[in-house]
Amino acid sequence: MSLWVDKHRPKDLMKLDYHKDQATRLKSLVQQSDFPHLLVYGPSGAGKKTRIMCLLRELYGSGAERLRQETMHFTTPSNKKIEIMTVSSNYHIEVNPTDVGIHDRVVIMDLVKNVAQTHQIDSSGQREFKVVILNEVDDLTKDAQHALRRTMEKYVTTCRLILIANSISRVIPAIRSRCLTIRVPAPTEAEITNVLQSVCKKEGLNLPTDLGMRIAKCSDRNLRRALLMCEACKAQQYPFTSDQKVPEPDWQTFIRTTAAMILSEQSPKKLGEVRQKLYELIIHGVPPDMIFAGLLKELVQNCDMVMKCQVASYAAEYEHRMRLGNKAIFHIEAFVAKFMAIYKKYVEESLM
Amino acid sequence: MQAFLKTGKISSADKPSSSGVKPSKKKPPAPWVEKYRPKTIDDIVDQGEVIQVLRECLAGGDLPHLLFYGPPGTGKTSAILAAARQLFGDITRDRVLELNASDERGIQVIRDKVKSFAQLTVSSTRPDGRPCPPYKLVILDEADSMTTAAQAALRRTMERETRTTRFCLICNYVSRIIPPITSRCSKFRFKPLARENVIKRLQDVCVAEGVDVGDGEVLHQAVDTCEGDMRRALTALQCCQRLLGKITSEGLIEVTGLVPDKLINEFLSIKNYNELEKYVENFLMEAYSASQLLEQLSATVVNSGHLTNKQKCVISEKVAVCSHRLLDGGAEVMQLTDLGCTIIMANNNP
Amino acid sequence: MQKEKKWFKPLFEFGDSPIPKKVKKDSSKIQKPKNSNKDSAACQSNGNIPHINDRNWMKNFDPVIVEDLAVHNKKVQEVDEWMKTACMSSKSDMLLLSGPVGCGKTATIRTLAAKYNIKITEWITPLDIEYPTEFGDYEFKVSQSKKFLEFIINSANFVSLLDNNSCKLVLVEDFPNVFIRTPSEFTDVLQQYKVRAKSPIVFICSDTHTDNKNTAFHLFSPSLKEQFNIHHIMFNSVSATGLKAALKRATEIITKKYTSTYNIPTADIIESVVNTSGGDVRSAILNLHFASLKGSSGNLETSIIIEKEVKSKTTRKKKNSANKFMSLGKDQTVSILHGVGRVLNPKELINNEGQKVLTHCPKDIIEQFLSQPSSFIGFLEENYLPHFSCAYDVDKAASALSESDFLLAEWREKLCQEYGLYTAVAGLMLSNKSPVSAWNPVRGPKNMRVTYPDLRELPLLEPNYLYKGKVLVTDYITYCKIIGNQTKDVDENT
Repeated sequence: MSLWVDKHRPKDLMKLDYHKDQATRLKSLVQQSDFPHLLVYGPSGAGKKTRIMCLLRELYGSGAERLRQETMHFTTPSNKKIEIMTVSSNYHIEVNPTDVGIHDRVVIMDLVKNVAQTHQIDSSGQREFKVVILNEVDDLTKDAQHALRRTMEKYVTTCRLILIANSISRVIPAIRSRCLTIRVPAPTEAEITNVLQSVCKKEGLNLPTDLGMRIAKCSDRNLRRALLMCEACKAQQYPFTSDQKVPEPDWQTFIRTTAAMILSEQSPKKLGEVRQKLYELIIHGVPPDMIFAGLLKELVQNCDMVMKCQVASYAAEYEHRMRLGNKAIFHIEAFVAKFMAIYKKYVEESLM
Repeated sequence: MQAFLKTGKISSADKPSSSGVKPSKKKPPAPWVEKYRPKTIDDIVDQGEVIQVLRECLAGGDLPHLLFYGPPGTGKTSAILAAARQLFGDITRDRVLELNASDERGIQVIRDKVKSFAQLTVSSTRPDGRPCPPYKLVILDEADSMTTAAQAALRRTMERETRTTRFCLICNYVSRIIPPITSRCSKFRFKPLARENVIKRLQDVCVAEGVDVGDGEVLHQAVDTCEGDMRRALTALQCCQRLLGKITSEGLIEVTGLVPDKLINEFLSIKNYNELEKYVENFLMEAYSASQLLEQLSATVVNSGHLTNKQKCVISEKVAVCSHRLLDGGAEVMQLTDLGCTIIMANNNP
Repeated sequence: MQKEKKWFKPLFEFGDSPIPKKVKKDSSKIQKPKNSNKDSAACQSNGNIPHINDRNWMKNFDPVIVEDLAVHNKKVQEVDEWMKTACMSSKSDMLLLSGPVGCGKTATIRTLAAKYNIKITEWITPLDIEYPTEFGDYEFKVSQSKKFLEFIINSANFVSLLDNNSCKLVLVEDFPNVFIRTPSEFTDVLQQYKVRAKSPIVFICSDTHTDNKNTAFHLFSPSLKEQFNIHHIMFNSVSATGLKAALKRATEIITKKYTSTYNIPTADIIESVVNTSGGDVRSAILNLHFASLKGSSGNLETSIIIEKEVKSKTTRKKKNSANKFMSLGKDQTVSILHGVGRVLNPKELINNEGQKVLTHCPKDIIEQFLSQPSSFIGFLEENYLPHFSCAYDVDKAASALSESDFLLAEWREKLCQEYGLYTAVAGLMLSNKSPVSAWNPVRGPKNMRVTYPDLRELPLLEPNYLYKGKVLVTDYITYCKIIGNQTKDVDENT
């Protein structure tokens, strides 16, 4: 049994639920003789991957859907062995180069080289290039991004890259200018509601309009999350009622309680407890920038305008330091401590 | 011919790659930027004095060490490539070494590759007996991204191999080149291109490609969005053509990742924090780029009529800070919120 | 200390048969020329004091009988048992001793061997680089591991003509480098030994703080230990009482024989030596030696006594006398914990001009940790919170730590490391205006490795789809749990 997200993923460019204009454009792009490197960007759960898979199908036919998973091995210049998970078909290969941290450069260069050098044996295939899909390009090290730029030029005859990023800000201009950039905005709430309705219809379920809208609202315009929420709702209670609880991701709840702790008491002891919570979040893989954003959102709610600005500016500063530093928890903790100091002062002053 | 030049440069800058990336018959269409690169220095748009000097140099058959600097897309690379072609003709491939920032260009490469290339002596005749200049040309594109150590290593090589090799450094910011090198080169500043010249050139390209641009209004827009950068304008046009099959203003905005003016003005007029939170969320959901927003915002703020000088100062300063943080990889949501707060505060106390 | 040991070991103990003698002074041992040079040099520096002994003065205090050992009785017994059974059976049994530096591993083996009259042969890695060839390259004549194997097997199987002991023991303390690079070769050697040798072998490994240099950990993996049935005995550092007993014994020896060279150490000196040595007998004895040498020791002693009068608290005294010997004692172990203590509990003194100054200036502290700034800051970060009582101070401190992490990340610039460390240390020391004085155990920094959920735990996901760790955590995991539970219930019901 697979999840609704996977089960009802559209397989054809023309069957996509939203951004239909873009879909037609992509289709016409495939029909041209030549196919450029692509840089697809948009927020999480906007449907980037779905579009790419449709595109591959359009390029190579259903052969691109026969996927297999394998682990590839690479050796860094310092003789360290690294391995990385890949998913591939006869026509393409997909990796998350960020899985290997600072060794991403080696993976990218070797992988693209390997792919580019193994010529297509099956000459009946209508394309003479293979596709390499790289995820999370914006999180690659600068070094790797520069390597990528060179690689893109060098192997352009035998392979095409499709890069996926959440935001284009962190992709170096040199890469941007070498790719056809495709922006995938998140679906609007109305679009999400429509998708939910149609999926429920396919499942033979009846989704009350209110509930659908509430799920769409809770999902932060993330379609994947919306579908998961919807399925979880179904698992918890069916038939649906329009006032039933929509389960929230547990890490968001966790951040909310942490923020409540910070607001309840401002003392070193409390900070110690907060640190434990933060530690939990980090080691479970919640990205530190999302922790930051979540905390900021919760904390400023009880502040006046001047304080909000102050807090937001510190958050931006510490978040920036965190990017450049090594240990995320130092900076989140410093932000929490800063907030405690500001908030405590505010409370003390208002009591006087 | 231009394509030939390009392959020549790849194979001379690189070891012959094992994958056999020989231009096959079904080569993908060349980027317009390459296809319509000026063939001779006289085709270069709008850089009168520089071209004048270059022309005289070429007539004399000799070149000094060169340092070209100026904003992107003003024809620096084109100028030197055209000059090289005019000098060497069909032996350009052997005589020119071009390295840009994406090549490995650490100190080791300068020491080994550049040095050994520079040390080769070349004859003053071509294989077919006609005369040609007795030196080679090393083009270091994007030289401002070279490390200081590598630049320092270059300086000795430049001095020692003057007899057989000329260097041409190309950069955007001359201040990032170490003084010992700038003093060894003749410096040429490339000024931003005049609008009408860019448009004329774009029009020529579109005609040559058989693309319909209507009354040329989109071309004006292309120039606006690309801030006088010819390369960006051409790339944008080509991308748009590829994606849409025609060139429209919406298409241009789409391919250049531009933020619509409406959003920028909205950002500047935010009144309170809740609005800001909503705006930022929406902005990011639409997948616009925050760094692009900052770039456009900065221009808007400076030219804005309704902001006081003090407000402009405060906002511009914050834009600079946030832009730096974004460049270091800071999260967009944080930086936009921070900047938004500054804007709100500035709006509240004019 | 470790190094010094390696240095003199080959000189003094090679081919030395440790026949137990009650009076070491009279033992008829072959004298190495270098040895006497060193000692006479040491003695000359002591002025006109007649030197009583040309031999290695450490030997004077070596334990002679089992009861002299400063090691815990239980451990000694354990080794004793093993040695009895192993040597009786004359099979190729293997023993691994591990423990911190100077906790008496080698001494235990030697003393016990002496007790049972067992001959010990020790492997010393030779300098096997011969002469450079004509091309200027150095060549290894025979591979290190081959030599090693030959040596241990020969010494295990062949009886020397000179002694008629029936039992033999091979001791390996000095591992050839080749094994550290390629542990698999070591396994081969052990395999050979197991088959061919007829005597037990003892491996001694010193624990170090950094994992990557820990031979015991690296070379002797659990599977290897199992494969060859290696008995592993772990020693702890010597307890304070054990140390005191050992030093007392040394004092007795001094009083009996060497009053001409040494002052008789006072209880104060012994105590401070015990404090500084951190459970390292060897270093304790060395310190004792220096502290009580005639000539130089007079000042030291008096200064200690003066300080004693000033300070009344016993803890203070300990610390002070410990500082006195800082230059002699072991630095490393003590200092990371001490350093953390000094930073988090800054003490202030009033100087001559009536200004408050820190007893330990941040500069001195950071000097000790320049080689490992990030681990030290990790320690500070983990431990600073309980020392603070005010939220404003914590803000400053946390901010300093964040800044220092930011600076430390710039690894290309050496100066940034120093500044980063300085920012953290000075920031923490100065920001705490109202410290909490309570005892807090020092904890090591946490391991911040991110562990993404295992795909196998989420059976609902598509098998052939590449999931991003981030997305798994933020989107899938909660709902997969809910949905998964539900389907399980349904399955059970049907």
